Amino acid sequence: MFLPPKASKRRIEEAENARRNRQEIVQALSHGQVSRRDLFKWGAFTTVGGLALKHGLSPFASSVYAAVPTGAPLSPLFGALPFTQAMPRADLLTRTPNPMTALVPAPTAQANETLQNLNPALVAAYPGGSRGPVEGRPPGTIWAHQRWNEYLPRIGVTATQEGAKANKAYNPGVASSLNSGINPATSIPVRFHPNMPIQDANTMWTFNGTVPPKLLLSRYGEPVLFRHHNKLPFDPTLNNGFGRHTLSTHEHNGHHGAENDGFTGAFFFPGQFYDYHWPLVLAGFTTINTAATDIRAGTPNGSGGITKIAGDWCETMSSHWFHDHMFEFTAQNVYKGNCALHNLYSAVDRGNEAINDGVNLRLPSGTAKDWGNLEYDVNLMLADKAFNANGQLQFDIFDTEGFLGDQITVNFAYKPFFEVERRKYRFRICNGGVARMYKVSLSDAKPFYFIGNDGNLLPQRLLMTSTDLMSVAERYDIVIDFTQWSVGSKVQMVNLAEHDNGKLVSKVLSLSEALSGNSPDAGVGAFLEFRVVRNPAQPDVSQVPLNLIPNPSLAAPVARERVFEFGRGANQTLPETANPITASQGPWGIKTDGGAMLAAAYSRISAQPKFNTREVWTLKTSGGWDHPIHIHFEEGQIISRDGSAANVPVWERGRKDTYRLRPGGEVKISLQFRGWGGMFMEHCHTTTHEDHAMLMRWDISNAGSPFLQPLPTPMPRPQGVTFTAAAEVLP
Amino acid sequence: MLHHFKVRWTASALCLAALMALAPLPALAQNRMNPKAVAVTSNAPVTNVEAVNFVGSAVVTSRIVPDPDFGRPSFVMQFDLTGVTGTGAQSGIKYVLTSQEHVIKPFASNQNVEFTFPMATDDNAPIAKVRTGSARFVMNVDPASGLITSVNAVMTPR
Repeated sequence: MFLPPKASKRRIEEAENARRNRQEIVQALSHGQVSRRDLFKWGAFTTVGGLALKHGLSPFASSVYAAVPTGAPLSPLFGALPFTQAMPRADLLTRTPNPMTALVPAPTAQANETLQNLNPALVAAYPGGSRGPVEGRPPGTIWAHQRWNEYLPRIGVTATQEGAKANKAYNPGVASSLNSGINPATSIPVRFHPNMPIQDANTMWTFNGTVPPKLLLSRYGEPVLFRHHNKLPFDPTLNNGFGRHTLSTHEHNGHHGAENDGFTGAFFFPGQFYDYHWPLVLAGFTTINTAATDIRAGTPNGSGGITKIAGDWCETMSSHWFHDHMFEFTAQNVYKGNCALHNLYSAVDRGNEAINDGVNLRLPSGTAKDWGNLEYDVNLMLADKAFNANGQLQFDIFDTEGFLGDQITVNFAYKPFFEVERRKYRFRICNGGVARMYKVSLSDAKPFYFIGNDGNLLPQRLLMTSTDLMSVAERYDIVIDFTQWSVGSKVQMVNLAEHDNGKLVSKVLSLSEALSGNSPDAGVGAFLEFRVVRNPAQPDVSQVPLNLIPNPSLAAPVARERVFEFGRGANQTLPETANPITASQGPWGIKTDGGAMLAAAYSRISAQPKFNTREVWTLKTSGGWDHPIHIHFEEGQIISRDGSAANVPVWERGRKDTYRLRPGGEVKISLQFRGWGGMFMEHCHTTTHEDHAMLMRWDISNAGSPFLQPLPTPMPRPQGVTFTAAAEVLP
Repeated sequence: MLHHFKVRWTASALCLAALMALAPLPALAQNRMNPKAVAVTSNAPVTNVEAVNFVGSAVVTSRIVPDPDFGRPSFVMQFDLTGVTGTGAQSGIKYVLTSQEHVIKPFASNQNVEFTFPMATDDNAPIAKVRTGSARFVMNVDPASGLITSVNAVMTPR
């Protein structure tokens, strides 16, 4: 993918010219001057998925130097060296009590259709009138917040999406001494290292326009109203070559109604906001523990006790993230910075390591607050990035197989260090990249505990010296006990997964190979350094119990089985409409129950599981691809891999929401459809695959009002969202 | 049980080889697994730590995944060390291994895989008492069938 460091000057120039040429087409595409269909017609995309080999256009074009891919120049680092900057902890989003009165305008069950004047640049891009609603949520009863009065928001969180700017209000939630000495009062510019250039306002679009990535702390039983303001440029061409200014925010993997899920076709425009209602309920709340008598199904009450809530405590989740899900532009927008972290606290995982009530697992966190202590509970957002000659973030949308950055960042910092005390820490690792996978080890192969997969605590902790491959969107929660090292020691977190390109991991390296510096993939090797700086001032009272959270029961009868096959060579059965576009071009696609391989169309319903049922879905692929398939809505359990329960590795024997199929592989999973309804999605979370049509819509229907069958498809415009009938419903 | 499986696999392998010559494999054929048990041998530690005698069998499960998109097939391997135990050479401390390791490499008829693993006296052992080791598997693989024809497993305490 990237040229070796010793590539000749001429070869680098050739590759740089190719990159510039591509960038012009990328810009034309993102500006709407050409469509993906045009590019297919011109042959810029081949129908089998790769970029056509046109010299000077493709990074894989035949080179005058050899019959090997030309590659792209390695990202310039401007003298930045690994482990020379402190890793900033995530930046806390502000929680506002009483949002029903504190937020202006007040949140409403149905979308707020108050009209506003539209910016002329927006009208120029989307003709049809000069006024439109303030909220971009589709209007009416179908997209009204479900169970609104039952779960009225008690916490409001307001965030913007906007161009990069210095962070003058950084709140890591801990003292500077626990954040590697970073002074939160010092303005933080948007750059990946002090030696590297500041990113342009339209190169990075982040939550509140700032770095490091944001972190939301919330607790079960305390519904959140997340108001997301779109403050991106009105003119869609002001994107520095990639990224779309329309947004749809997916709380991955929230258990709530579809109107709050970030459906790919429910996007909103600059100048609008969208109110997402995250009720934070335990799955099964309508049928299990409905009287809220189980003390384990609970939430911190603020004073050391537990408030019991309805639902299945075995469905308790812990580590989420939220990110953009804009149709065809998810990869670009997330890469640009539209990704944030979300810790969920509960009776069992309350973020307080001292409270000993027989329910709290007392995982490493801290003791000062009743819940949500972060002193020893650290979020790590991994993201691979690439930079152009000017040090600005660059992206190549023509790489439909999987764009790779050659440089690893943690919390948007290039290979940082993090100071720790000599005690246990919990790390919530999230792969927020586009296509790169990681296999994480410590540089001296010391053991750690693996406690959570995809934000769900496992039935039992596992002892490991390296993780499995971690695909995009997967979250791994681990505990490292730094008493294994002496004060003054340094130990690095290491990536053992080597990519030749974005297709899949080409090799899993041994630890010594990964640390040798000989890999052609700059993303291999140490990417985060821990420095053991002192003994803790207070004794470490945290625990890592052997038993964590058991799996939910699979006793409910299976109402139906379905088979989804993920592959290439997809066809589009639906017409591409002018604006908005509801049907995508391949090459990727999904077969449903042995049907045709279909490219994504969000007006096509590929499955309609009935409300309050359990189904078993088989996900499979052929060939060497390793697709991580994300199914929205509720965590599932892997029943078997490649035909056998014994093939499910121990770290996957909990709940998950993103399922790596592995090359030529197949997984059978159990899913439940309860509590909420509406339109959801299933897609590959290698976001370049998702954006090139490996995505499908499924609806939970037949639950009575307000669900219709089939649900009409939203057609967002700045002047207001209209609806169209579902174009196709698969049997 | 392994032997029984192997007999079934041999028949499948013939079909697999025939299909490989014709077209991309159907998913079912690709999913056939090939478990192979191998008695492990112990190596002296490289660093100044107590030697450990490892006994038991590791199970290697593998499959070859042909794909025209990649130029050459991938080789997917799973290593299960749960059938191996270790004993400290001087202390006599018994160690239990719980590791499963998944590895993907480009297919080659000679495979060399090395990974690290933890070993503890029991589930409740404090992490300070957990030791680690490295396992090295050298395998020969039949390129036609993807079957592992020979495997050597050496384990070294760290």
